[in-house]
Order: sequence, then structure tokens, then C-alpha cells
Amino acid sequence: MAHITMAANERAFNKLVDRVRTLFHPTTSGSGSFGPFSVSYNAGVRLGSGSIDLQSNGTVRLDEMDIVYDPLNVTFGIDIPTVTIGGFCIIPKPWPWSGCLLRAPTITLFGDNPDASTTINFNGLFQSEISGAFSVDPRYFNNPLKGTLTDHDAHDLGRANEWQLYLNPDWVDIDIIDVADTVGNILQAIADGIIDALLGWAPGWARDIVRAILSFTIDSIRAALDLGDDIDEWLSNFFGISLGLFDFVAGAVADFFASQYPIFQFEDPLEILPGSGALIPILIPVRNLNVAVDDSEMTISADVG
Amino acid sequence: MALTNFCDVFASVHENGFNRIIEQVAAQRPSLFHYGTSSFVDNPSLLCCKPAWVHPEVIKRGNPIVTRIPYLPIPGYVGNYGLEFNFSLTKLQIDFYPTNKFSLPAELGTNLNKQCFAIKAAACAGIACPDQKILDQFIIYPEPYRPTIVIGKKRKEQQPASTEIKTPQRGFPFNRENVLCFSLELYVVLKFEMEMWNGEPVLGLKLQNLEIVDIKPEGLENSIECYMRSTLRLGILPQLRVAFNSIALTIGDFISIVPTPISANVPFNPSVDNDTISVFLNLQTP
Repeated sequence: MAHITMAANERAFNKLVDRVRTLFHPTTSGSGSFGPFSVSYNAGVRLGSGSIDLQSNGTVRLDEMDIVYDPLNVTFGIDIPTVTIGGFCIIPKPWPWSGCLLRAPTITLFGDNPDASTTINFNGLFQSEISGAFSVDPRYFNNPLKGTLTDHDAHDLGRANEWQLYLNPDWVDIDIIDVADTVGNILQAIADGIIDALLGWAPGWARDIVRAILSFTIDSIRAALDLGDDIDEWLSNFFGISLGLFDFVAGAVADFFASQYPIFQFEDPLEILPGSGALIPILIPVRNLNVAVDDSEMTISADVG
Repeated sequence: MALTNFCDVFASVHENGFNRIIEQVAAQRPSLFHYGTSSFVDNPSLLCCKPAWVHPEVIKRGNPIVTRIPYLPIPGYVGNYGLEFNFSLTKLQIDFYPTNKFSLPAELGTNLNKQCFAIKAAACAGIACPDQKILDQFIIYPEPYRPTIVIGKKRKEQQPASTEIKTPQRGFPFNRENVLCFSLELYVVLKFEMEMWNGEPVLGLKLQNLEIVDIKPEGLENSIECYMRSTLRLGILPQLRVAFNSIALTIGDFISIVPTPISANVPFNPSVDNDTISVFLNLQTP
């Protein structure tokens, strides 16, 4: 029996995902001018639906994780050079005075910046979707910089050996535009607009009933459009390979990066008590690190000493 | 059955892991387990119980093997000298239910009860006893008492006998042949226990029993055990309680890891069983 065992179940992973879904919402904005033309944008992403599924084949499945682009809007503007008309003298002062008794009114045209603009709003309409299966692969890193250093010297110099956990992609399915959800979102937005415009006079509960009926229809369209992708993902998961040229390339890229960058690492031996004054830190060797996944939980075990 | 059937996260440590960690701590920080006066600090091989293994890094970096402690004072002695002595706690081991790491003495019932764990340790100590020659050499005679009584005249005040305990500055000359050692085997049986305190569940450690093996006479053994039991139950264990509902490992504003509440499915948390100590945890979002 391993000296130390830790396990987390699917519920725990999905609680973490839910929390990330709540907190993860990076946004960016910017603008640029090109002569009289200007463009500004607001963009951001957040996680939509999707879950983690622990599988009996030892992999962790990321199941249809939606990435919603929200906000996503672009404003185009044009700045026409300012034109001032009028202001000329209609009745000049009689001699010997100089100046003007009556002037035409001055009108300034195109004084704003930009003078005309329009915003194209895609907030929450476009979605991408990522699915995939990964195994967690523990590897021991013999730090070449450690050389003949003792464990304590290597620890002090940051050259210790390490246990590293890599996410090893089994297959990856990336839909840059999740057609089903994107069409669904657009239909939903149109339906909401129509309901509010045409049934604005109706009581709220009546509009909710109509909205519910239309939502059911839209969800059915969404499911029908997603059928092809679901089959694709099911086959990918079944065979453990990325199907489709794009997914094959995405899988290869994911493979490359996953093999380069561990998701978690810690020193071996591991510090359990820091040094105090001249006293050395207490380092505990960690052996036989193992990660196992079944359909109910992920278990990490190790021996110490 | 899955480890996380009734919780989100599960963690356990096997007694072998615990004992390996104790071995490593003892090897890398031996001064936590060995105490002595200057002669023992300078020459740890004189300890009554030498460390089983000292990590080479401790030697290489000149870390102390023995923690320096003051000389043992001699009550009434007015000189600057004290006795050299040493004390070590060795062979520290833990055994989680069921009993299989070490046998308990008969007084403790030989086998652990469910959910109990035992700690075994050997306490070694010894005094460097000065021989007769040294005692003769270092004895300091105060002014002798002069019981001259003259009738009708007040007697001259005499210096009272010294009862002072003076802090020694030096040890008596050290003779390694005269280090008198003894070793005691100590067993303590404990159990995690949940109890209600002011209406809230509190997790504490309850002393089940303790035993010091074979001190004679029996009355002395019982007296020392009584004193240790009282110290543990009244002085130490009451301070090791923790409000169960307040235990939380909070990771920023992200998530909290809290113990799984006690229920029919999780009757003990932590649970001591199957040679391991296990904790059941839930994730809680703010």
C-alpha cells in the first residue's frame, strides 16, 4: 500500500470548473485610426457549459467546453474634415467706418470625432468548443544542473530533481466556431427581440410562455446541428485519436506543448520543514509517484522516505 | 468501493509513511531528539542513546546533533559547577489500528482498539556522575556552625545553611566511564474524538492509556505514569482541540477545502483504520 494517497472525484473537478466558469472572464479593448477611419473593439471570453468526465480507460475527458466570446463588438467610425460655412459679411459698415454691420450665420459641419460611427455587436453570439481526452503522466526529471551536488545543496541552489505531471492529450476536438451554439444564440437573440417588440404589451408571464416554447424549438435546432460534432467526438473518444485534419493538427500541437510543459511539478526530495538559521531544511524523498484514473476518481499515490 | 464515495477529496497516510518521515526528521534534525550538556554536545558519541543515523549533510554543514542544555544544578552547592547529563528520545514509532507495527505491553491490552493509534518511544538519559575524588576536590565548606551559648548574652548571628540552587557555569571534570545511563520504553495510546463544546463539534485527541515499561518499584512507575497522564490530560491534550467546522483550507477567493461532516457514511473524520489515517474533505465555493 502506498505511503500517501490522495483522491478527488468527478464532482470535485466539476466544482473547480464551475468556479473557474464564475471567475474566469478576461477582457481586452483597443482602438486604431487609419486616416479618417477609426476602429475600436471590446473583446472577452468566458467559459460556457462543459464538464470534466473521468473515464474508465484512465483518461480525463473535457466534454464540450464552450468558450463564449463576450463582449465582442467592433465600432467603425469616420472622421470627415471639419467644414465651416457662412460667416461672410452681408452688409458692410458705410465709409468712413470699417467692419461689418451684418454677417451671415456660421455653420460648422463634421465637427465631431468621429462624425459617424456604427457598432457591430456580437456579444455572446459566437462560441468555440473544445473537447478532448487527456491522461496525466508523472515523469521524473533528473536535473542536469544538479550534477554531483547533494540533495540539500541542489535544493538551496534551485537545481533539485523534480517530479513533473504532464497532461498527455489522447485526442482533441476544437470547433473554432461552434456552429450549433452560435446559430442557437443568434436565433435566441432574434426570438427575444421579436417577443419584446411584438408582445411588449403582453404581461410578463405570457411573454415567458412564448419564450419557453421558442427556446425549446431553438434547443432542438441546436441539438440537431450539434449531432455531427457529437458523433465525431464520440468516435474520437472511442478510438482515442483526433478525427479530421484540423483536429489532427490541433492534437499534434497539443501533444507538442503538453510534452514540453508540465502542469504541476515539485522538488524531490520535498521540503517539509524549512531550514532555520544554520540548520538544514528537512527534505523527504518521494518515490513511486503514480496517477490513476477510473470512472469515479483520480488517485495520486506516492511513497516517502 | 471508491475512496471518494462520500466526499469530494480523500487523503490518507500509511503508518509506514509516517514512520519513514519520523526517521528522516530524526536523521536531518537530530538536535530535536537529543539534548545534553557541553561534553555531550561536543562529543555526541557519549550519548546514552546515540542517533541511529545522522544524515551526511548534517555532518557536512556542522549542524548540531545535540541541543545544548544547562548543567544540572546541585541544591545547596554554592560552587559554579553542575552535573553533566543527556537525554534522548529515540525509536519513535507510530502504529495505526490494527496493531502490527509493535506489540503493546500487557498493561495496555496488547492490541489497539478500533480507531486508536499508539506511539512508542524510548527515553534514554544519563548523568555523568563525578567520582569520590572529584567530589572531595570540589566540595566547598561554608563557615561551620558554632553553637556557643553564653547565658544572659545575645548570641552572635550565624549565617543560615544555604538552600540556594545556583545556576552552574561549568561541569565537573568529565569521565566517560562514569556516565550512568538508563532507558525507558514509553507507550501512549490515543484516539481522535469528536465532542460537543458550547454547541459546536470539536475535534480533539483523547488519551486512552499510557505505560512506562518496567520501572521498579511498582509504586514509582505508577506515580510517574500518573504524573504523565495528568500532564497529558490536563495540560497538553486540551490545547490540541480544534473546532471542526472552522477547519478550512482556503485557496484565495477561489475555493475552500473543508472536512466532510460526520454522518452514517463518514462516521469518523479523521479515521484511523487499516494502518492508515484518512481524512475526508469537501470542496466549498464561497
